[in-house]
Amino acid sequence: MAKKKKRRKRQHPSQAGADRKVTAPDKPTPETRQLLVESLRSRFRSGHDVAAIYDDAEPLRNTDAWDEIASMVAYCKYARIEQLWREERYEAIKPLLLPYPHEFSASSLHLHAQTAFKLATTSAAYLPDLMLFWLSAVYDEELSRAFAETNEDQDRVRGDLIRMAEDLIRGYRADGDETATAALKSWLIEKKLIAERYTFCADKPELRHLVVTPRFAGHIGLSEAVLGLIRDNRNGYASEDMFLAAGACYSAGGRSMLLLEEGRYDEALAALPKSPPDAWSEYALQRVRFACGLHMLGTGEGRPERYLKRAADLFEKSPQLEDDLVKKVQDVHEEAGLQSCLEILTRVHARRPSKAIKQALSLVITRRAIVLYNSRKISNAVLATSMRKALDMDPENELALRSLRDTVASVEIDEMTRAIDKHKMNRACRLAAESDHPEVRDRFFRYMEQMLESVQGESIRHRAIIDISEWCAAVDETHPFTEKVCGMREGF
Amino acid sequence: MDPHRILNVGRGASKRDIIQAAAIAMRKRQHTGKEVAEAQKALMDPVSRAAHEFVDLLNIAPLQDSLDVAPPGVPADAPSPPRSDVSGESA
Repeated sequence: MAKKKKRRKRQHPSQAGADRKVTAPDKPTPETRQLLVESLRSRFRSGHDVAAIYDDAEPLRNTDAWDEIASMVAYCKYARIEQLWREERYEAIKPLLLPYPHEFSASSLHLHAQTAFKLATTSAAYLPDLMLFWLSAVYDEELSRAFAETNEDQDRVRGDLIRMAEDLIRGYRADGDETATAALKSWLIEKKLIAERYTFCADKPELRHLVVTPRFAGHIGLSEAVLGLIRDNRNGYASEDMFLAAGACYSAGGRSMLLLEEGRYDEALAALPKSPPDAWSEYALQRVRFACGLHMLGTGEGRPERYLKRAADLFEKSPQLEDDLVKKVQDVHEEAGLQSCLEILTRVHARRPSKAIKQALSLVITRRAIVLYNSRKISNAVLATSMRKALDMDPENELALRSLRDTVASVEIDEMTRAIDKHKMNRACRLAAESDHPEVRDRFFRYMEQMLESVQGESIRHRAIIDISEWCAAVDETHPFTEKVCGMREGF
Repeated sequence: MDPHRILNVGRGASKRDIIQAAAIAMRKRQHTGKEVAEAQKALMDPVSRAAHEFVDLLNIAPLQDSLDVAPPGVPADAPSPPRSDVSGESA
């Protein structure tokens, strides 16, 4: 029997459905709603396919009937999650958890962390979810009690769980995923910070809920409380820098600090609080601006001097950052970058004339002057002045010492050349004789040689040999050319 | 790796249950011998087992119990029946 072929009209995709009237789904009438509510309740009571009730209740969302069934639907949602978990359909679970709540029971935090972990095993795109929940979940007191009975065993299990998540991130990084590379940096910071909180709360069970990461603290509104914990444990930090850095991550500037760790400079700047409400936020602001300024110095983009204006303030709290600036400056060779470095270091030097800053400033002055000289923007004299200024700052600046010597020789040669051009031979001879630089005298004798070669006519040549022999003898009697020209004179 | 799913065992499985489950899994050949051996090893060590339970076993009962609703199939005033964790398709 010949099959009857169904014929479909071919049409352009943009026309597909154009002849089908599309209307928004009608809201059920009150009577329909009531029937639907009764039907759902009946199905729920019977316990048949509870997971499906969640989807079937959707038409009632945002209607008056929703309040009546909200708890039942929430119950069914968990049943649906359970079903999806069994089917390993973790991507389908995430929409059921969104939007993420701002309050969590231990069980809810566990569910969110588990789902985030499973999702992160499928794609690096889910690493932000993992990082939001994982560390705070594995440190949660109630969840930790389920690991093992003793604290020591709980710590071992927690260590395993942290390693499992970290291996996941490192795995993506090893595959060349850039987001994982960035994520690992902030993960390591948050891992250190939450371990610190855990240590602080070891003998304070009433504060155990504050053992959370900066990211999670911000999400659930616990940042202020954690900052209080940090403030109360000021003596637990080896330096003010460590104390401020820890607090900064939990402060209003905390998100910027983490973005900075991930190398997301523009986003870190954009996320900074406009007016920092406390010392930690202020520190975060200074750290972020400092790091962004250094980054700009490295890339040669933007105006780093704008971001490094207050570097000296930051060095008072974090002296080790001075080395970062000094190292970065050593890699700058372009004119614009050197100009920025000059402004930055001059400002820092005024407040903090340390040896390292003096050396860096001296190097920048030298390099900048050489770059300007090479592009014919300054003269030998200005170059020499700059070298002397650089050497005042750092007398051991080898580049400035060598450049100054070369520059002074050039200045003297210029001066001597001008004197010869104006036939001021006594002055030219004196400059050549008194110079500390042999190249000045070499140049003088080269001029004399050229002068002698260019003279035509015997009588004039005779007179020239007499003059040149006298000038050369005044500069260096033992020079081979002096001896040569004196010999010629004696031959007359 | 989800050792609970590979061996088809839940939270309360004893060491004997795990060994038996490993033997069954070997016979079924749904997973490689290496996978089954690793799953068994992961669940025999208490620390590793607790970590895998945290990762792999879903327990929604506390979340459902926290809601103001009588469980399905149970009268509103009756106590809730005990429920097990969820790990895999046949768990």
